[in-house]
Amino acid sequence: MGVAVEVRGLRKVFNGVVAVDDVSFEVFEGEVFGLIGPNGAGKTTTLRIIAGMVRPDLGEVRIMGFNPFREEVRVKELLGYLPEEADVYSRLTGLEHLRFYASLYGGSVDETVRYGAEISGLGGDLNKRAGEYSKGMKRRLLLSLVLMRRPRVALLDEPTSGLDVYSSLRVRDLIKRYARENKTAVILSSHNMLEVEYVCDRVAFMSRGRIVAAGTPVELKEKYNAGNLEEVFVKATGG
Amino acid sequence: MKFSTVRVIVWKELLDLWRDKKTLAVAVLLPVVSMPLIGLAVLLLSTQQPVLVAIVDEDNTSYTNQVLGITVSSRWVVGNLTEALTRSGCRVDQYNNSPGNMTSYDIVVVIQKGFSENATSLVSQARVEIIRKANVQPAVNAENTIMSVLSQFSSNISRVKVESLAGIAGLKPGSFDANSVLQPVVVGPLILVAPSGAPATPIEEIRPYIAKILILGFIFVVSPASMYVVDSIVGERERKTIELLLATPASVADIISGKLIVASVLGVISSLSDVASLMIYMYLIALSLGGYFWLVVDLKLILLHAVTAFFTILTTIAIATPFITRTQGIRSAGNIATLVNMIGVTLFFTGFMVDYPKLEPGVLYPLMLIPYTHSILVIQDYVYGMALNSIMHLAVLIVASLILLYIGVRGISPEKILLAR
Repeated sequence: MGVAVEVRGLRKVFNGVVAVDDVSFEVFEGEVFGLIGPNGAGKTTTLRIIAGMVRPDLGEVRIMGFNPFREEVRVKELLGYLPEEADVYSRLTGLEHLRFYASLYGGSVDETVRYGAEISGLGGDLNKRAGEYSKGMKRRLLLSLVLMRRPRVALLDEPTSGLDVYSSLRVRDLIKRYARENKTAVILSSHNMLEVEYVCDRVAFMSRGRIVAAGTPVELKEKYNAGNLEEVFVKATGG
Repeated sequence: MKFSTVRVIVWKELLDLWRDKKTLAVAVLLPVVSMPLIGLAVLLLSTQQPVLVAIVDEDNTSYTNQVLGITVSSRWVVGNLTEALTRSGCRVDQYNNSPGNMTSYDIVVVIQKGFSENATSLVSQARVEIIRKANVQPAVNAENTIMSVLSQFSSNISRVKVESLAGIAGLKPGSFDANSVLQPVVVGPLILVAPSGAPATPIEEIRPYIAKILILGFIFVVSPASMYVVDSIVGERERKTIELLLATPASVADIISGKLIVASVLGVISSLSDVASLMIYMYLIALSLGGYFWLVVDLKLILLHAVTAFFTILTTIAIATPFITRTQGIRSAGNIATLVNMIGVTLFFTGFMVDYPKLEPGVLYPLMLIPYTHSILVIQDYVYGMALNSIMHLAVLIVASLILLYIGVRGISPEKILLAR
């Protein structure tokens, strides 16, 4: 498997506050990589930098060998990004959302919309206005908007945040199945250790803008002599 | 900027706008309701301000000058004043003597002792004292009515006196006209000409007034469009829909341009609605002038107004956009949009009161740095018959709005939109 995402020495400071400091990692094609950490750890800023939305003060990002700030359009075509608190247009139907986003990317719009409708699992509800959807339905629609055109790299910021148990399970299954079937590199941020252990092939723990530990869940548990990832995190951050 | 991407953004925005019935209703109804409502409200409220008038007839006599053969009664004056004032909506109380405290009255008319005798005299003048409250505007109107009645009364007595004196002097009927003494200099006829110097009809006198109303109309079309931009950019950030959109291949310039185009479409809807309301307004004016609707309405002026309104809207949102996108909340973005609107409102209001083409160059040229000045001049120059100047100002407005749009759209990055403080 080749390297899909390469992150080297990222640093970002907002008004004197260091949000991200010396963050480096690689993610391979078909791999699900988890960025774990509490709120304010720097996960969202890291994902925004990788997505080309926020320019780092230091460091470099490569998506399939392309720089998101110099080859913006090329990278956006390869990339799918689901922001943490993304929401839907309440007056548009689910199907209109799929068509709108598919049209922005071009190519075979009908085929993309068909696949998006399939992975959303919303069926007939796609003809309803998205404002009428439950939180879980909205999240599935948003996830299908990101994944429907089979991006080579998917950045998913807290994809199950605020969802109930059943909705979370559906979303996790969708991510896991999707990454395997499409050989997509997925970077997933979460503070839910159970979710990360279930979905991710490798994880990196973030605390105060820095990566404090990285590896597969099994490797990390062995290294820190811990029973689960929560213990790993506590030990890795010296808590 | 990619046209196909902008087209997709515009499609989505139009779909969203079409389903946002409240915004559409405000855009259409604001001008339609505001314009006739202002006229109606002013008309109705101005008739609902009763002025309290006291007429004190201290003279209360009738006197006949035997030499001139003329009789005057102070009660005639009281009667004439009461009738005229009541007809104009005043409430009139009559007294023969001052009742003391008169502070409840807006205006007090005192017919002084000896009025009848002095009015018929050849050696003295009759006096009517007027006491008016300084801060009551309707009282000024009542004073004008009183002055008009007294002037007519005075003129009638003069005529009788002059004719009597002519008879005493032995002038034969037909050899003397009282008007030659009472009004030896007459003004008229008044010949109206257009700004170009060509003869003008009385209806053309209304055109500058209509132009001023048209300029005032810009106020009602600019606000909904700029508020739409606030909602579609800052509102989208607050509703958490902008970040997903910014992650697509659509550039910030594509996204903002699409939104501004739809905001301008909304502005055009407002503008058409504004024009419709003005047509109603003009129709009402035409009715009051005897039904010459098509003489009052100038379709070229209406068309010019619609085009100018569109580019005035574009200018407003182009100025406001760079600030709006860098503002954190919808409330502060709304305040900025209001601030930009206020510049326009201030100028458009002055355009309602002032003839800009008549301004001194030292005043007008600095004002021309503000694009809204050209919006005003497009309309006013046209009405002044300077069509070429009008087109020139329209061209300046178009170029300015496009440059401002280019600057406004180019300087925005996703980071600025996402992390605005």
